[in-house]
Amino acid sequence: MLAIFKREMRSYFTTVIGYAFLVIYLAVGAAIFAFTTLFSMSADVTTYYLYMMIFSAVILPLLTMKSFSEERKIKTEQLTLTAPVSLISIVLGKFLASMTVFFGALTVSSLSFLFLYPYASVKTAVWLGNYVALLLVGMTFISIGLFVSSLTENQLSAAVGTIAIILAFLAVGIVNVLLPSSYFLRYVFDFLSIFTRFQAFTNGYFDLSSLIYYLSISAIFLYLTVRVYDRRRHS
Amino acid sequence: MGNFLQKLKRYTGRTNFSRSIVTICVILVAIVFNAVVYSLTTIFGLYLYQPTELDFSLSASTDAIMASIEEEGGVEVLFCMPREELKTHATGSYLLKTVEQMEEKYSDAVTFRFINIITKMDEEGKFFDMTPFTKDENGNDVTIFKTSVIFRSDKAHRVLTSNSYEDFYFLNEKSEPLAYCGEEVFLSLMLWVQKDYHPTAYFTAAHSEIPDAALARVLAAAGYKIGSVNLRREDIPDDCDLLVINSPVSDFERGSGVTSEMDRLYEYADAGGALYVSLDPFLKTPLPVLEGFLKEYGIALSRSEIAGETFSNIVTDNAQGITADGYTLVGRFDTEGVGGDIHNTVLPYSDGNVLLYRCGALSLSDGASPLLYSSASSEIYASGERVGKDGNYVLCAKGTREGENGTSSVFVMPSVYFTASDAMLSNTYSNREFLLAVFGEIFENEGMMPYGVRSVKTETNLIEDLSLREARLYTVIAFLPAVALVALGAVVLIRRKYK
Repeated sequence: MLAIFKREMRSYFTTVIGYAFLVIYLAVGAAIFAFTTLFSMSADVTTYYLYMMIFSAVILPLLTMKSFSEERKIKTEQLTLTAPVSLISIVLGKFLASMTVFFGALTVSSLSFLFLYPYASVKTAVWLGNYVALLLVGMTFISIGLFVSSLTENQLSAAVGTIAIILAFLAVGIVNVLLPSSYFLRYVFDFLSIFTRFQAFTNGYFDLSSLIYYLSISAIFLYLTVRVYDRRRHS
Repeated sequence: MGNFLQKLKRYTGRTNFSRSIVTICVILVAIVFNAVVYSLTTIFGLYLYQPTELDFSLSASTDAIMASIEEEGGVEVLFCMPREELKTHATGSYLLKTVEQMEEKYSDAVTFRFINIITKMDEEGKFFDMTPFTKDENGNDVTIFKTSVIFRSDKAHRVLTSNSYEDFYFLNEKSEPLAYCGEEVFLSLMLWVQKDYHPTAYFTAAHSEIPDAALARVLAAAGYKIGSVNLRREDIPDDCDLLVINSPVSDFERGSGVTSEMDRLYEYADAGGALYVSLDPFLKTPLPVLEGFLKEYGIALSRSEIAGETFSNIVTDNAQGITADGYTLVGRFDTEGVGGDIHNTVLPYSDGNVLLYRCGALSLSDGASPLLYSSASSEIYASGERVGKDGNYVLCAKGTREGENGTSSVFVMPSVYFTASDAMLSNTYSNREFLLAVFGEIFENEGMMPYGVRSVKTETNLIEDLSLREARLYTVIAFLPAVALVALGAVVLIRRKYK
């Protein structure tokens, strides 16, 4: 797994994609930070992380789109599949590499809030809660991205497919409001909604059920990715 | 066990169908596990970390109000969200704090229940039927959400629904919570559901009237239902108990041949209707039709003529005013007549007077009673020129008019800032209590009022003392990592290309 991880990290930083992702993420993060705090005269961290969550839904698929689909396209997939490494290690190695890049980008962009401490009462628990929540949400998006990338050799299709699934998860929270009469459906959508799970963290509560929710979604999509590759290995 | 697992693995790995079954099972196990943990968190509150508990308590004046509620048979308040979930809710957590304190102190007057609107079970596992609350008193559909709060007594029920419990907060112009006023909302709605009759206040529209959420909130606290009426198109509803004309910018229409706004207004006044009128003394264009109507109540906006033009008189108090420009001043209660009655009502809850900003002066004649005065050192200015320095100017008044079918009352406030948040949330000034007394006593809305119930200022997220230059500097610093990475990436990739 470590070898796969190192290889992926090297590929991110010896090609344009890693730098492009980080530059775009950090630049947009800085712009959103300035817009929602400095020029709004507000130390509210929640608005920033909400915008960053929506932005991550669009940018993270660009990070994961090449993970498996590029290997399929340039026909080096067989080398990976026949390597003396378990499929789980391959998938986890790629997953951890993407997570590391995202973690670095999120951490650097979040450090901007340190500027506000001399000027406002920034709620540290709320800040950390939002940070952890976005990290978990990003983990979920990355796992979805890896799964979709494993299904196709076309990187653009992988990116678009990932964005579609992520937006479907995000839309669940909005659709919930439009179901006035069915309590059961609203409860189910509430249970599945990424927004609702995000909410407890934004108030400084580290909610165990939300943590398990994000870990479960990630685990399911990573497991599905392993299953896809397992099927390909045996076909 | 190891042998069994190996055999299981070999068997399930053999066929696509069995692999699919395993996949489905894994997903189902994950869903069930999540559902179990979600339920346990809802019931027991499983948090890895919780922020510090909120620190505020109930107002002293709540005792009397809750005693009255208990005497009338008590009320029930239903939340459509489990207690533990409310605890983690950003705005709901304040409500829960109030609820817990009320449960402890007033368990005989109010019962709180937390209903899961899916299972329709409360905390004790009892089934609760939501059907009666899906229609309001007029038979219209009411949608119940997780953030709905239902108040009910033997006489009536009321459903309060907002996205994030905003009805329990005093909001600023950006709809951000400035202060939590849940105690007032709880008390006023508990009183409301115990009353046989619920008065209605209608705000006029079509004159660029300022939407005044603070005024609407005080009216709601005084037990009024709120509506809106466009007198250019519709008659004043029969159930109107109070007509609110809030700082109109354009005048009312007087027509002939067709029913005009003034026709409707006079019809209402002749029937003995009550009015609340606030006027903007800084309005460049006077409102002669509306002001002519108010003159019939004995109240006129004081004006002076400067260089052939007429300007409203503005009261300033440079000696005893709050701000250096003299525009922010304290209004003293009249100690006699109607003003004295209001003063006596407000006095137990606040020994301060009212805060006013950019206020005009009123001229009174027969039928009108002063309610508030400026200080003896105050002066009046018109178009920047001092036109009077006698002090004791009338800052608001009540007028009456004998109509064909009854006596109509009007309350006139010549300031648009009386209900500004600083004044309404202040524990020093009595703006809120004054308005409650006006709506309760002058307009004969009987029953208890939530006097003396204080709001809790929520922690502000405002950035202070940050100059534009500093904001730009921090923005540039925030962009530096991205710029550095561009440079680094360029160096690495170019070197790699030409290696």
